[in-house]
Amino acid sequence: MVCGVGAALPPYIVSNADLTARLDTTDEWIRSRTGITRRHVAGADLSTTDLAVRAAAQTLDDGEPVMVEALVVATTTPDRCCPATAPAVATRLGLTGIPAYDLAAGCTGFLYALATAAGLIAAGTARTALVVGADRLATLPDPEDRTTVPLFGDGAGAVVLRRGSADEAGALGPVMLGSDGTGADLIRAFRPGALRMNGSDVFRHAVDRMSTASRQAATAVGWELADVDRLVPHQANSRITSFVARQLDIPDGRQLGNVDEVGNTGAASIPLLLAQAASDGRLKPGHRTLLTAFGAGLSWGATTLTWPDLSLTRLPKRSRT
Amino acid sequence: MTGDLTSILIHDLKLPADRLTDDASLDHAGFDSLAVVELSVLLADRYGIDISDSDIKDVATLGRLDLLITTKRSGR
Repeated sequence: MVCGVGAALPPYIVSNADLTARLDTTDEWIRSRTGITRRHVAGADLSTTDLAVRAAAQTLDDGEPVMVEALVVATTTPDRCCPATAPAVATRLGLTGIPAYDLAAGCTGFLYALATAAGLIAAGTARTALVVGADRLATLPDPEDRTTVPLFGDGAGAVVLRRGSADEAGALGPVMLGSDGTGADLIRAFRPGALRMNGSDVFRHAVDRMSTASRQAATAVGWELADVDRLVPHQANSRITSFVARQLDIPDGRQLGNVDEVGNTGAASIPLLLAQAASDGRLKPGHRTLLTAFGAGLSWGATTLTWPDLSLTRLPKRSRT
Repeated sequence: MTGDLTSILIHDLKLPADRLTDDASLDHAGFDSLAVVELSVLLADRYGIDISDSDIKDVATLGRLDLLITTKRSGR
């Protein structure tokens, strides 16, 4: 079950006006098609590892350090091919020795990581696990491509999971996951700066897969969609997320979003939004919350939880050494 | 235009009502590339009819679009 949340954004902000100064586009074009007005960009100052460490540290920064026993980092933009990001993140958090690994599932990476971390807890490998989504997606587009550059930003988000019972607030419902390699070419980047995306087909698949997975995740825990207090969709584009909400008949007021301020932050998107919304009061303890994502692969997923009262969190503490 | 199409354009695609006339082009009505895809998905979901993005883009006016949809729905 979820018992902590945190996020990190690089300080450098790129506005639509900054982009229109160097690309043949307009603020109106970007806002009407994506809902995005600005995004945070790491540039050369912050690595994916740095962002992951900052987001993870925020989840643990409640006084005494928590005994985290496993770490999964979901990312499509690791700092290097080898080794993985997660062991370095664990060490920088003072967690050297715990199982730590990366996982790549595009913008659905965070939900895939949640499922595998919950599996580690169920298997007895760990009692608590940190799940981090960290991406620097702003590195992927061709810098001259006016259609994809505006879409992406950098950031990280994290949650802490602990063993718990299914009837507790914070307990994850079954994580519904899927993939379809026949759509591999719809979102692809063979190297940074070379992203290719078929916007129309991505839109079509994204709304279909997220709507279907969301219905499955709600049904799996016996919820009607009318029971959902907060829909937390991967922040790809406000046109996609609004369309999904309409397909699910979830009113605008129950849909959380931050794409206008951060753009598409990949695997960071959902935990970043959870952290912001929990902090500013849009997401409250007791809210029946539906998470859903779609990304390159193609990949998609959805799950549910009743948002917990994080002030009541009790975790095994680690003795300071 | 039939009420069904008008309703989709106003309530689902959020296009401005005062621009939705039979002789308006899709551009004039406020369609962008995503709105074309949105309409195609909505028509498939609601009426079970398959009208591709390019079929929608090719129509000259909203009146023609309405005729295309009505024809598909009646199975002709």
